[in-house]
Amino acid sequence: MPGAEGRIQAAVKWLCRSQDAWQVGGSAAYYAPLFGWARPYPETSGYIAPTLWRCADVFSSPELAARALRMVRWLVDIQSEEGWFPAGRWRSNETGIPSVFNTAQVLFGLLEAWKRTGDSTFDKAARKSASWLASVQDADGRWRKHAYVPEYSPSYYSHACWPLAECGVVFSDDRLKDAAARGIEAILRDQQKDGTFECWSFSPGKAAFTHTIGYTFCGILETSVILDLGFARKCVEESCWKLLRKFEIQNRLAGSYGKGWDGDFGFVCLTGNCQIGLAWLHLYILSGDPRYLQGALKAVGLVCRKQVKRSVFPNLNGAIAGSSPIYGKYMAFRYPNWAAKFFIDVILGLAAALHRIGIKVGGGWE
Amino acid sequence: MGIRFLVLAGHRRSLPSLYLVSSLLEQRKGGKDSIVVLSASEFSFRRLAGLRRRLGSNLIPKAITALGFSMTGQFGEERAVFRERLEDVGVKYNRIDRFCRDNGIPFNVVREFNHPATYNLLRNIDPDQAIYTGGGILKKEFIALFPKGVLNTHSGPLPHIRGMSAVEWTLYFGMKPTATVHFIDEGIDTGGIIGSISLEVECGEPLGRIRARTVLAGFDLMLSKLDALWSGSLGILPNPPGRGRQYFEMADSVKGIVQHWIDHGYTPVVIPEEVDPDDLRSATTRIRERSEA
Repeated sequence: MPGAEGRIQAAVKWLCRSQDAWQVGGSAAYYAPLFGWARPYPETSGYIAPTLWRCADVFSSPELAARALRMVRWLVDIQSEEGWFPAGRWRSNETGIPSVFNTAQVLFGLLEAWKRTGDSTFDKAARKSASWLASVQDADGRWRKHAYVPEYSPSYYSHACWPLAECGVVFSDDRLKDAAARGIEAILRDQQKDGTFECWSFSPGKAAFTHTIGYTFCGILETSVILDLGFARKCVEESCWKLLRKFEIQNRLAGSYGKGWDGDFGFVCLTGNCQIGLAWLHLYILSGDPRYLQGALKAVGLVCRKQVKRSVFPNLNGAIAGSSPIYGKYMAFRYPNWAAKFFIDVILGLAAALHRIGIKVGGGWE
Repeated sequence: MGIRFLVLAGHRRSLPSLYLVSSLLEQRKGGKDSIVVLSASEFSFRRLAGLRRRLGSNLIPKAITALGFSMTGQFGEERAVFRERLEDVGVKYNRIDRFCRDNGIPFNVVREFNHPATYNLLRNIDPDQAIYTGGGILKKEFIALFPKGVLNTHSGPLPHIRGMSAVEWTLYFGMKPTATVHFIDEGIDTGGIIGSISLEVECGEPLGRIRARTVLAGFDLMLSKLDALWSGSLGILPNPPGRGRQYFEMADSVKGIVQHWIDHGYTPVVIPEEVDPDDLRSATTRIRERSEA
């Protein structure tokens, strides 16, 4: 059983294979044992690049840094004139349709590339995307146009506010900061008394996978830190605490939650566990409350146990499935690249947090 | 007419419950007071479901040791300490029901404490003072049956550490393991406090041993306070629910961290009275700051 380092390395190798699958620079959206690699996914390639750079630092690997750069260069190549990035998976013969969420996720990669290389290509691309995002925002802070479901502005768009806020700070652009803050305010209006959010699922009225719940939490939390929005942090902390308490009492996270935290325990959304673990980890770092650290460790422990170690399909080794069991409701029978990305992020974060309290990470946490 | 004590035992193989009953019997020997023991059944569906939730994976081996059927596993060290102490006080039994049978103590097993049939049984027994040593969360209907309250030993400092894995969380925060004797109310460890006692920890001591020593110290403290409590000379300290935090079952990975600290000399340095319940610094931070100062 490999330790934390072995787990990260296996997941990174898998991400490298996902990039090599199409030879264009972008990472394939997922691997399905029956159908092979899916097409490259701009959205997730956008936020996988910073993860690869972080791993390049941790493992002193110029190869990983080169891969991250290649990924972002590909993204710049497919960026539209107006600055947006397309929805869905990339096809070489199509321009695609603009997507608010995907464009925002690509910003993570563009910003990181600019910070690391100082290359103005990335600076320009990031500014263009951020400006486009601000320009298509409605007056009330929501994004109804260019949404995944037309006219539906979900709470997980907080994960779009986060890179927008970061751009606002990096480029000293008040317009971008204001757009991000208004986006968060609009999302917080959807928060219910029980801590759930009205619109945190992929489509209206449906139960939310922990994947989108994790997006919602992390987006609000990170934006609140970047823009110093104390009220937003307090609101998201309340929701995070309610979910943590449920998790501890029930000893598991559901795959999705409906109204009033009505959980579907028939499956676990593995990427959601990692993302919620990231939110709890961040709250631990902010507050020092070890209950959040323990929640993150427990949530990720399950994912560690589910990482593919030795498979008859070599392309599966190191991968994280969408759901456990594999036929669960989220990304059934598929191994998404974002699951590997959030897995690496949370393990690196946990290792750093544990290091701060005097623990060198050697073994696994399961 | 003496005091009629009711001891609530988690299960028939509970060694700490056996220690408390045998010590109480020894303490009250020759007096007018009497003891009745009420044990929860090991096999109620609700209990097994609770264990399933609490212990998660590897339920069966963990449940076997948790319910006292085995001396190995994560509860093995704990049981070894209880066993040693029982031998020190001359108790050779492993089961509380057999000890009660041979010492003339009425012993009852119920499916669960929070059940109308149990309430009826308790009305017939009509105890004066209940002492809790295990058996799950008590509902307010159960607690209301005891005008003099239900006494409990909590294995952590109150109000700092409420809830589960209290010894481990106490150590996490760099505080000396502390047993607190308090009354049970509807909240999670929020009843009035009778007293507390802190223990020293040796470098490298296993968590299971520390946990068991804390429980035993709490029982000894409780027994030493009973007469003062009944004579009315004992002050009850407040335990405000708004202070401190409720903690949950500590993950094995975090227990590993705490054990690692103890193994590497990060033994606790402060008693809870010196620590603000809202101070969340970990043991390593606390010790590092102290050595820098």
